[in-house]
Amino acid sequence: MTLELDQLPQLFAEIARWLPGQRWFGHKAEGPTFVRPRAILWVSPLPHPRALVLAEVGLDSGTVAAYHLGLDFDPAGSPEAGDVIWEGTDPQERRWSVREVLSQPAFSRALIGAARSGSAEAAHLVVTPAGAEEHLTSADGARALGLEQSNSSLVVGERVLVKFYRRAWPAPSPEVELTSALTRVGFPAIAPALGSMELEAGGDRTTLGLIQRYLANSTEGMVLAQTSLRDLEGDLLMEADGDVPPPERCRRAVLQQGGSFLPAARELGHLTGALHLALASPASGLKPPAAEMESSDVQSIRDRGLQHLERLLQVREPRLEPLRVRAADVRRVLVEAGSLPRAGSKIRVHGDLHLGQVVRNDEGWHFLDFEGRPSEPPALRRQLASPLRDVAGMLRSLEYAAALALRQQVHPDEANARTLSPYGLAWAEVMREAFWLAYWRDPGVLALLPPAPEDRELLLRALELNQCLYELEYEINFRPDWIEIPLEGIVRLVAAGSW
Amino acid sequence: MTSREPSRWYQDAVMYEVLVRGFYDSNGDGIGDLPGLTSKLDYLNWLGVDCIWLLPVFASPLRDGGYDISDFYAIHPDYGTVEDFRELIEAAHARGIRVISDLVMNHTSDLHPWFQEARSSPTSPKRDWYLWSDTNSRYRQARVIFVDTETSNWTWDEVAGAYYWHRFFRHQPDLNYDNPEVQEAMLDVIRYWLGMGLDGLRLDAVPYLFEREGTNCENLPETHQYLKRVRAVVDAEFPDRVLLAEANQWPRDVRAYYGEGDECQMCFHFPLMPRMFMALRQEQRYPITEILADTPAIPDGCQWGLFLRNHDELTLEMVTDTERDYMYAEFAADPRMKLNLGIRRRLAPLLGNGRRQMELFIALLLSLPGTPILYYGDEIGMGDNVYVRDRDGVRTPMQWNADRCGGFSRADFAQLYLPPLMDPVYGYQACNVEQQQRSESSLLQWVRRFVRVRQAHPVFGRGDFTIVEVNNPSVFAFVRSSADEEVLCVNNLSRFAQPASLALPAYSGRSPVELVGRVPFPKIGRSPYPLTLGPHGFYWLRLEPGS
Repeated sequence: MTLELDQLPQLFAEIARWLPGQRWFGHKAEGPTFVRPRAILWVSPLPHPRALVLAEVGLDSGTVAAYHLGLDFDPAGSPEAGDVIWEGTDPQERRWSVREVLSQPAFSRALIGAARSGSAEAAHLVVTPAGAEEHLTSADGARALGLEQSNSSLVVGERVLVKFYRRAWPAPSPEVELTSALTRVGFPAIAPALGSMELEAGGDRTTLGLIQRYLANSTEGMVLAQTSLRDLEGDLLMEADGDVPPPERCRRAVLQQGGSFLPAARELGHLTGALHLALASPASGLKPPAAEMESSDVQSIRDRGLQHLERLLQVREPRLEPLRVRAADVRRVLVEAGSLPRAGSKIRVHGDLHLGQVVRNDEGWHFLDFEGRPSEPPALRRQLASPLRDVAGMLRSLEYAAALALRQQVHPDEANARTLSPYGLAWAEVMREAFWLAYWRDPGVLALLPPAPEDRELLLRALELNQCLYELEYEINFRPDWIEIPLEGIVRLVAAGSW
Repeated sequence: MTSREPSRWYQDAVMYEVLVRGFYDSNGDGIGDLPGLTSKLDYLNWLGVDCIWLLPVFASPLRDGGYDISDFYAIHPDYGTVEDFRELIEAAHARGIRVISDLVMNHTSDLHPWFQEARSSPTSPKRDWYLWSDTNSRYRQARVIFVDTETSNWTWDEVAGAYYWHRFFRHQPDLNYDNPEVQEAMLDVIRYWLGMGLDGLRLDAVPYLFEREGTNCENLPETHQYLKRVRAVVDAEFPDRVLLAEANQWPRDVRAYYGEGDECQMCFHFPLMPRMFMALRQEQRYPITEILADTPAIPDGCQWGLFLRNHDELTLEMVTDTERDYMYAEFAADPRMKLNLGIRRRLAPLLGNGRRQMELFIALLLSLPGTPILYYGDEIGMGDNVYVRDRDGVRTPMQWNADRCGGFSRADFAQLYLPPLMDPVYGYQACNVEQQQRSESSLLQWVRRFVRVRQAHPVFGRGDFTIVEVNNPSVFAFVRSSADEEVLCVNNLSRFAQPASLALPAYSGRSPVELVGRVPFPKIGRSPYPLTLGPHGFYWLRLEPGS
């Protein structure tokens, strides 16, 4: 005798009510209209069953998105971690408390058994390489990691990280692919892959999780950048009088700063170059392999930017005036870049590189999260792109870091902001320069870029503009107070010859 | 031979480095001496020091602060006699204080009778006690260490008509350890002083004993072989004494000087100290955690020697070039502060005389894995004098009180070996032992209290060390643990107040109790443990079983 989910009345209706409260649920604005199981894999038997559920989530648009859920059917109703989603009795008068526990230690222990039992069931777990499921538990215990954007992770024995993908995309996932390839070629600045898990159901496979080394004692690049900016601006705030300091003074302050981010910016630039070399190398075995940028590639950069721009010009928002004034300049840069005859190589890229995707620990800096933008389908994320796309992401992120720090110190309208903000700009300028120069110092990296220096700068500028336009659209929708950040980026990028 | 288990006292000790010359002058000649130090043992006992480490007191022309020994069996007359030395040891032992001393193994003064005899004739029986050459081109791969004063490791000697080898100053010829007579002669020197009751030796410049062509002449296997022999002799004839190696190298290279627990019991951890200053300036823990992660495990019974500052410059040999530029820019604003590859400053001026910074650094010194070594004067926050030559700037007289010459000496001011500091911040009238003993809130009283707290918890000396994951890079947290107790140390490297969230899954359910005031903190739960730290603040929390 087992448990039938349809015998628990309204279970999936309750799950549909519970989903929008989850940080990792990416369709908050569009649903769910319903939730129903596409596949169920029982990983623990009675008396305390647990199930891995591939859930279909109905959206307002009439389409369906798939998510991974780990359901725990607790007969005792013990006060364990996790909110109760459903509570009640089944027709056999058994009482159940249902919780969602995908990244809880007990669930992972149960997955080991499911992995070992193989493909006897209609839905089953495929672990690559065989035996990698042994990493899912440790005598030293395990803990669920805190708040995450689109996944739920478990740290096992402080040595292994199991990252469960909430959104169920058809396998293989770009992240599993890239992390495994980089591990294979021995690229040191990542958390090496130990294995991956896929859920096979009805002939389809979705990527359930990535098992990799846990980087202990690590801190995000954005946090360390903020630490440096706090050091720079913390004392200036006392003396800020509303006067605008000359740029040379700001630059000098940044260069002489005790808590400098400069070595970090250089190292990150160098490592990003090394990352691209590894991704472009045939040894990585990545598909599709690196190729030359074609005219259609630069045209699509141009077109993506132009579409964004036109959409933004439709938005009724007085603060977008600086964009309207410069729309012609933005178009000109995009159009020029769109006709570049020799734009260098296109390779598999990180796809969503910014300071939140790099961490420092005692062994140095590491790149994380090779998922690309998790909301986009894997096929799109797997497309080749100019390596400068990652560079643009990091450069923009350095500017965001300075802007965030400034907003933490003073309100943008305060007089003090006039004194402080040039220091933040100088910080961003120095770090961006350092990152960029360190990035292409290696001749191998240079060979991936447009051969003419002015073409290099033009392509980078166009990609940064695209990134700014993407940011601007995002900020208008979610953080209207921040639209000045990408706007200032656009203004600077179209002002000729400036960094 | 003895069957008694060695006590490993050096693992629990708080050590205190003394410059005899600068500590207390008992006979009014302007120079500190051994009877002077003996008369101040009560102060060191009050402070809670377990062991004093003497900078060299042997006969010497003092062209390198006594590291140029001209007679291994005599005390320099400035400091007293061999009898005074014996009395110091006895008086220290009577107070439960141990004494260790510097011994320079690698070289002698050029005035040492051995060298004088050696240079006199190619057929002299001592000729082969040193290294001679007709050319200055051998051992080219050996670097020049004192780059500010020396250009080569070979110097021409007119009397000998040959070049002689020296890794340090030209007036310090290296002994030739390939000669068995030299090996025996130095063992006899060790026997003599340990036989007098000395509790250990700090072996100066130990990586350079042997030379081999085609190598950098550092850390050679022959050097380790000889050190093993020294240790075996010491263990057999003088149980429970300590050998402390000075090897200014990366920890993974220094590791060899512990042997398999059969060479030196202690080695200095050199790179930690500059990195603590970097971490403070950058307000993040990584400069420290990086070097600790790169520090190998050491054999049972061995211990790192930790220090914040010592009698030498803050040495920057063990940092990268970029880091060195950074340190110079941050901590040596005046070019006079630079020396060789380092910065010649004391703790207080390096930290801008910041009380909170000094407390944080001393707390780190007392809680990181190793034996802490305080440098005389740093317990009262003494300053330095960048206008005097070489490393003398950090070797000025100890400031006892506000009397003439800072209570150091009854001599005429002009007679002092170095003038005491007289500036309004660090001068002896503002900064001295007497005044700080009278003030309950002084740095001296604070140091004394924390030395005691450390001594009450052997886990600091012998426990394991585990870094705790914290979500804030400005906060550096770790657990010291033994079978008996666990102490959580949390340190804020930022000059701003900081929140911290500590991952302590292994200690869920424990009740932290602050070590100094016994204040109970909230119990550790399943979620990350939240703490708030003031600017440069720190906590020592004993993790007691939950009730």
